[in-house]
Amino acid sequence: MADLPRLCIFGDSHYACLKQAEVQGLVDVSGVELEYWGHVGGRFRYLEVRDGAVHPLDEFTARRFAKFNAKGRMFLPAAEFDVIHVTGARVYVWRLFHQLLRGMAQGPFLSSGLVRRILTDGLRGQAGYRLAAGLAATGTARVLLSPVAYYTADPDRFADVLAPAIPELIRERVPRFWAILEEVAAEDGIQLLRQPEETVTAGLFTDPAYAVEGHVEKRDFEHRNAAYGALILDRAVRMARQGCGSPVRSAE
Amino acid sequence: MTHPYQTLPEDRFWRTAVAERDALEITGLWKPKHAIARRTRIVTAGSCFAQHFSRALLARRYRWLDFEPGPAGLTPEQRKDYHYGTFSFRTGNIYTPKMLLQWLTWALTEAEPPGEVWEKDGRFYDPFRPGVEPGGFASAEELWTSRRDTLRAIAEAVRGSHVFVFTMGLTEAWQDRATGVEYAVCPGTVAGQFDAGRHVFVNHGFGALMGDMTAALRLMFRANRRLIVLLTVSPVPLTATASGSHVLTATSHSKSLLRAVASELVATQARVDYFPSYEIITHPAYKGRFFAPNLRSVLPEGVDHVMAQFFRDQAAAFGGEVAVAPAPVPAVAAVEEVPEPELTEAEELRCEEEILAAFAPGQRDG
Repeated sequence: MADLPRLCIFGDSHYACLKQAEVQGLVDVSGVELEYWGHVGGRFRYLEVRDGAVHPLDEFTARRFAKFNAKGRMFLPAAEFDVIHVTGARVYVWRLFHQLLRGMAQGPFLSSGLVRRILTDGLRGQAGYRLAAGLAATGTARVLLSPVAYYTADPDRFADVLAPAIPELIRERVPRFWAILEEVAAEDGIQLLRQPEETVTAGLFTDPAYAVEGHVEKRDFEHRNAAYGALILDRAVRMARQGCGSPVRSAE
Repeated sequence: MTHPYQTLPEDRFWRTAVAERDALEITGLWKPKHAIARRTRIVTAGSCFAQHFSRALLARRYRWLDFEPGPAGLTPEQRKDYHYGTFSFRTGNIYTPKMLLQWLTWALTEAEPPGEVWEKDGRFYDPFRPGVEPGGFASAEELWTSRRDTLRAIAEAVRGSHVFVFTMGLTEAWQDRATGVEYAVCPGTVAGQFDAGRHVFVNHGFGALMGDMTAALRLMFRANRRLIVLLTVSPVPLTATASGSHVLTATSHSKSLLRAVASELVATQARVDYFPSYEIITHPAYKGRFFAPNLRSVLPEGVDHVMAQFFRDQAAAFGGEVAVAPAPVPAVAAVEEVPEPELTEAEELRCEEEILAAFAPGQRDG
C-alpha cells in the first residue's frame, strides 16, 4: 500500500460527485491510495497555503474539512501526496468565457492580447486557483485542476446567453480560451483539465444527463451526478497511476 | 489719467501679484472665455499631462467623457494597462499639432491612415500609438480593426462634446520622408526599424505648428459648430532631443513655440482658450516645487494645485461653487482582490447536501 501513488481529491461541493462515483463502483480506483479533503465553497474563504500545506484559518473550518476526510486531516500537506486533484474549488471558467463571448458579440473589438490578459487575470484572481497554485509551488505533489463544470443546459434560464452571434463564437473561440488557461496554469505548475467533451452541449453548457437528480426542481444547475464524477475521477486516477511525483512547471 | 498703468488692477503688477505673495496664493492666472460647468461634456487628448485633467474632472464629478471605454467588464488594472480611459479615446499620447491633425483627418474625413505597421518579435505595433497594446497586436488585421474603433471614437468625441481639451507636448517628431506622415515616436525605439533614408527628424517651427493647429481646429469646428477648444502646454520637459541642442534649451525652444501658438490662437479664434497649467508648474515663481527630484515628473500636489486653479478661475469668472476638494478616488482592485460572488443560503445548503449525500448519506436527513 505504501508504494501506491497517493491521490487526494481536494475540492468544494463539486468533489462530491467523484466520491459518489467511487461509492457506486463506477471507477476502478485500484492502484492508488485515494483520499478526499474538501468542504462547501463558502469555507474556501477561510483557507490559505502556508508551509507547504492548505491550512484552514480557524478551528471551525478545520473541523469541517476534517469531517469528510478518512484520516481526519485538519490541513492538507502537499508533500504527503503524489497527485492532488483540485476539483471545482470555486474555480469558474464559464463566467470568464461568457464575459469574453458577449464582449466579442457586442463589441468593441477585443484584441487577442486582451483576451489572454482577461483569462489570465480571471483565473489567477480566483481564490481556489491560488490555493492550487500554492500547492503546486511546493514542488512536491503534482497538481491537477478541474474547474467547476459549465452550467447545466436550460434554454429558459440561459436564453440570453445564446444570442445569435454567440454559438458561432463558442465554436471558434472556446477551444482557444481553454488552451490559454492551460498555458497560464502550466506557468504556475498546474495541469488544468478541460471539461470532458462528451459532457458538453451547445458548446458552453453541461448536458443535463450529467446534472444532479431533479436539478430543475432544485434549481441546481451547478452540481453533477456520479456519471460526471466518474469521468473526472477516472481521469485523475489514470493520471495518478501514470505520472506520480512529477510536478508540472513548464515556464521556468 | 496720467498713463494707462495707473488704473490697472494689482494682478498686472509683478510686485503685488507675484513677488509679495506666497506662490500658492497667486491667483487669477486664467481669465476663461467660456464657462465649464459640471454638465459640460468634456473630452481630453494630447500629451501625457492631459491625463491629469480627466482624473481631476472625474474626481470633482465633472462630465468627462470616454468615447472608447473598451470592452465591458475590464478591471481598472486592465483598463490602465491597455490605455483605455487615459484619454477620451485610445490614441495614447498625441504630442504634436501635426499628430492631432492626422488623427482628426483620418477620423473626420475620407482619408485613410497609412497601412504601415511596425513589427517586433512577431508582434505588430501601431506607428501612431505604439504603446496602447502591451506586447503589441497579434496581427496587422487586429491592429487595423482596433484602430478603426479609435477613429470612430475620435469622431464621436469631436461631434459629441462641448469642450475639447488638448495638451500640446512637443515640437520634435519623426516623419516618413516620402509621405510626411508623422509617427508617435521615433521608429526603432518601441518597435519597427529605423531607416535613416526613410525616416526624417522634424522640429516644427512656429508657422508649421500654427498651420497644423489651425487645420485641426478647422476640422473640429466643421464637425461641431458649438465646440470649444481649451489648449494647454505640457510642463513636462523633453525626455531626449534629436535637435542637436542641449535637452534643456531644446525643451525651452519647444515649449516656447507651443506656448506662443496657444496665445496666438486664443487671440485670433473666439472658440479657443488657453489654460496656463504650464506656467503654474514651470514658472520660477513656484521655485520648482511641483517637480519630482528628476525635475521632469510632475508631483501630485502640482497637479492638484493646477486643477484647483482651474476650478477657482472658472468660479471667479462665471460664479458658482469652487470645486476644489477632489472626491476620494476608488482604490484599484489588485488581481488578488478580485471579488468572488458569495454563496446564497440556498446555494450553500445545496452544496452541503451534495457533500452529505456522497460522504455521509446517513446524516442527510439529520
